Amino acid sequence: MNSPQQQEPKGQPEVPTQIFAEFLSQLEKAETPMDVVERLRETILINQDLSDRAIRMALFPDEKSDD
Amino acid sequence: MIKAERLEIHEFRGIRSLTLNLEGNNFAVCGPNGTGKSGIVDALEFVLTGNISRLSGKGTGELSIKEHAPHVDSRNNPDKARVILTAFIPSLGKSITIERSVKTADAVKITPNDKDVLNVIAQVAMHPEFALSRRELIRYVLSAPGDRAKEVQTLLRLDQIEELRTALQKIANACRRHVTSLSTERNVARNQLIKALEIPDLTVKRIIESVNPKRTLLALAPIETLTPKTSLKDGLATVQSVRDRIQRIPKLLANNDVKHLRESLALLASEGTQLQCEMVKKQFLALKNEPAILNNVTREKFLKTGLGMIEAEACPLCDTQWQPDRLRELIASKLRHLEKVALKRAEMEKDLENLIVLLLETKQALLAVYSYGALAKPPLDTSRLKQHASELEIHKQRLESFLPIDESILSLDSITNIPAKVVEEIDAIAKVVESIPEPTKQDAARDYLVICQERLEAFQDVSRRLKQADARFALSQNVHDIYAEVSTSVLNGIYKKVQVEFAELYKFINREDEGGFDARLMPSIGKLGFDVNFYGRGHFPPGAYHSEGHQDGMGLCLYLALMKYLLGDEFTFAVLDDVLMSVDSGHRREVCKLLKDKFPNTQFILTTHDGIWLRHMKSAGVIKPGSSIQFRRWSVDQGPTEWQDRDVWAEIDSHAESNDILGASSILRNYLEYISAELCQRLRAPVEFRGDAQFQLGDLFPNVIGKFRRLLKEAKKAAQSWGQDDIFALIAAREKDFTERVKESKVEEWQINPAIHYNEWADFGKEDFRPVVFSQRELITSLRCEKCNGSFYVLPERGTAEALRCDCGLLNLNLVSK
Repeated sequence: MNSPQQQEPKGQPEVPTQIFAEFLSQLEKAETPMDVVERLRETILINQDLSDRAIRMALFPDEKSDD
Repeated sequence: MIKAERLEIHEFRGIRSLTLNLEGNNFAVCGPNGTGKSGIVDALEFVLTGNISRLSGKGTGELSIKEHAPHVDSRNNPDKARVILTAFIPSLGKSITIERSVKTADAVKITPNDKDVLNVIAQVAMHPEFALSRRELIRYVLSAPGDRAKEVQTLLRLDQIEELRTALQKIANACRRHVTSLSTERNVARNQLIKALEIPDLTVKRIIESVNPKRTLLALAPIETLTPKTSLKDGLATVQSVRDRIQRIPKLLANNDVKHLRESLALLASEGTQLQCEMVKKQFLALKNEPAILNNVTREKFLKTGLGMIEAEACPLCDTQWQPDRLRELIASKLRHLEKVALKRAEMEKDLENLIVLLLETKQALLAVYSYGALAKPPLDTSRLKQHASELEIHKQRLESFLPIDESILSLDSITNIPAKVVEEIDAIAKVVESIPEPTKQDAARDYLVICQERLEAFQDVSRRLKQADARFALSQNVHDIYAEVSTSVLNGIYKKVQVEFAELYKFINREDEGGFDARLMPSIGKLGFDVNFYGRGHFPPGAYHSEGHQDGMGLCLYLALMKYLLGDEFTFAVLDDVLMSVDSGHRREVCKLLKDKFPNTQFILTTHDGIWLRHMKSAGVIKPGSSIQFRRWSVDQGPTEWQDRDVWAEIDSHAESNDILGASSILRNYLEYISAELCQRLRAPVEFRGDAQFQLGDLFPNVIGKFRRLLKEAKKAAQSWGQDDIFALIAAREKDFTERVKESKVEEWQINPAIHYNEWADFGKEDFRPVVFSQRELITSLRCEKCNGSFYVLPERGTAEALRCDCGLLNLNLVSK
């Protein structure tokens, strides 16, 4: 063994990525506000956070201040 | 994906130390149950993923990898329990080594550890389904649709897709509920504004027409138009007005509020409301004893699971005898009933909406009149009004929640009752208001403008919040709908491809009797229906008419179709753990052909407890010579023991040395039975057919000897026909040697049959037994290559025999004469 122990690398699932990318593309085509699309892209594809809270924050970032 | 080349297992599960040279080829592990086959499957899963499904899946209770993956004697030393896999990554053209210890199961040593290699290993780790057991296989076929969808989704890594769908659905639902709540609030605010303005309906024209005369009285400029920034009291000395408002009761407004409260309470206590309450109460009572309303989600899942488990003529839960069709219909009717209950609840919630609005309006009216108590001189106790407002709020919340039913019924029984004390306090306030001197027209106009502005602002505020909530609901619903459409469309595409591939694979192994087979994968939200064609008679669930063997075949084909879709050319490695145990012999060769022809680039590691299956795999070319291991027994001290010459003879000697002749002879006989069957297969020796495939030594060994003699004779004849005198001489020498060894073994043969001489073994000593072992060993050795140690075999495996050879080619005798 010439390598140190390393943590398990994380990969990206194939089918979900395909669906998420198509979803974001269709949102753009449906004239969803770009800032919403970008926040969803960051949350879903980059942060890979699919929790209710994260998605809600991506949709309504100013929710707390308003409500 | 990878191809496994070498697997080293130490102190892991039931294995002490074992090395398998897989060399990237298909590899078979055969042995009776309990001899350690699963340990190899666990080791492969562990080294590649860090997990062992057998110790971490459903029903494993308190089992854990750290405590129970090491061999039982190394349970306190998990660092000794380790697996090392040498593998080749075809897509990168690289060989790698992966080492994982149970002590640090989350960490793995990968050499080399460049980014490309790590990515490939990460992909493998994300697909633990490369290892498939029969238990898992059958779930793809016999599960209820909801469960099958989960299994397939897990395999395709679709759980994230469902996770996002659920999140978007929850958000859209929450937004919708918020809109409904704000709509009610806005209606109440609107009604209160209308009452304050003293107009029949709320239009800009009416507001201006009503407000301007009051403004004129106060010498204020008339309002030309109404914008969000318009103040009805614009120009009034605000501070003074507020102070006035705090210090005294505005008579006209108070009169209106008292009137409105009395009207609201009258409506609440009216016969119409009582009838409405009675009607809804009856509906609640009808549902009260309906368990489905209380736990419909759990119950629905339970029933659907049960529906999918009906296989025999009995209830899968309690074994009560049922006709399957009748039981299915009973459960299906219960599911239909659940759907009816859900619809009923939706209707009732609609009926409750009017009551909820009335409760909210009355509550607001109570609070408005309550506030006048403190302004009365002397102050009046109106606390019962406030208390009743709180009670109405509780009733409203209960009806909105719907459950528990008892609480909703309690509220329906209570909301029409107006406590006498409430009426008394309203009358007292009314009396005080009545006694207040009539305000001047200017005071009345000022009060009017202040109160109307307050209520206009409240109405505008709730309208703004409703507008925002509407926008959020529209956005969240739109995003959800787009996601649902996209995911459904993509998944439909996937399922369609998988369905076609599955049918092709299944037809391949059943082409003789089910050439017209096709299948339907039917996705809907959260479910995946699966129907298959049954001999052209229609489409049915796989468990309906197909045999267990056919269902196993379907499970394998669906799994392979999904993996092929999922990994494409990267599907290079799969472990099939006893998955085809019930495939009938007629289809085994076809399954082997399927694996060999349709998945030529996939390395299958196959385990089976059935030696005949192993021979099928070998003869079909799925397993090459040398690419299998056959376990004969297992012990906690030694782990699995292979049928290997070196070990067997040493073990026999060891028993004999300690004068355990019974033990030594037992191992010898078992080994001879095993190796005879192996040699019959390799040399294509004819054996008298037995339906139960239970062959004894006497059924096999003489046939091996006879066949080998005939092969040598044919080889001599062929060499003579080709004029190969030197080869002829070598074969003749081998023939002579073999004949002598057979003769020697015959002398001692009788001694290895315990059925005849069992009682005499006790009288034998090691000196008596040693010649027996020697003669048998010499005979077996003459049937294998002195260089590669592999047993001789005939090529090809079917048809006219052409050659007798060994793995390394040192022996390669032509059997075809000129």
